[in-house]
Amino acid sequence: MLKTTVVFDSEETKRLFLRYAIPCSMVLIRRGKVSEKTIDELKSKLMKNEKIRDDLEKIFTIAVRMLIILAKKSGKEKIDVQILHEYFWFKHVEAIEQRNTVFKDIPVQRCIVWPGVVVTDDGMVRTPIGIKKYQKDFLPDAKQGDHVVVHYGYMVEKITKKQYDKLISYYEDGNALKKFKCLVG
Amino acid sequence: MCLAIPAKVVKIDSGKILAEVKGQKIKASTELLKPKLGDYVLVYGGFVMDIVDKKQAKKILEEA
Repeated sequence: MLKTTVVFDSEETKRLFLRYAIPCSMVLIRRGKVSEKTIDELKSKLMKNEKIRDDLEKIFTIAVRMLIILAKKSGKEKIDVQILHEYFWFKHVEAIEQRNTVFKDIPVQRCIVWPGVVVTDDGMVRTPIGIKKYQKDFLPDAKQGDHVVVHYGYMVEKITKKQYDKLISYYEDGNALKKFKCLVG
Repeated sequence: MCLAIPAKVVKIDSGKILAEVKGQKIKASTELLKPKLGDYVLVYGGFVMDIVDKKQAKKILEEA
């Protein structure tokens, strides 16, 4: 078993991880893996800028273990922002594809972390799957024209134009757009 | 995390296993965890990420 008390390189990285992970955590609640109270507490601490517990592996077991593996493969002792991006922007899509070939039970379009451009200050974002409204809880100051990534109904993180272009071309090159666009989200 | 695939271990090789779910076979590395034959595991990104009991595996499967 892995020894995993402090696996993130900073409190900031841990908080960014939660912004990606919390939106779809209702699935874990439904499976009885974690209580609603635990997730509410995490979200509240995230929003109030209070310290986040170190044992996130207990709650988000699979995601944290995958991040540890990716960090190790890059010769890193701890998970940093670059590893988070490698996972949520790229590796995560492969996992969605695999799950979808076996079960076809997941809302693929919501699961994918999409790059987007904010089109209105109240939360409308244009992504490859169209213009939709996203929760601004994690990015309250996101403004029209900002480049962001979205996950499961939430705006997660602001990104640069360069990162945006890289993500867009990844989806186009990998043919993922065509593959996932037609699925019910 | 919610994307992991629950499957039953049907074959063990050095460093990897073959697990079965819904009639499909999935290969996974045992770099992280070493399950036994017949164990229920969660496979993700080509790795065995967790060993779960039958009840848990069923719960995940029922959702599918």
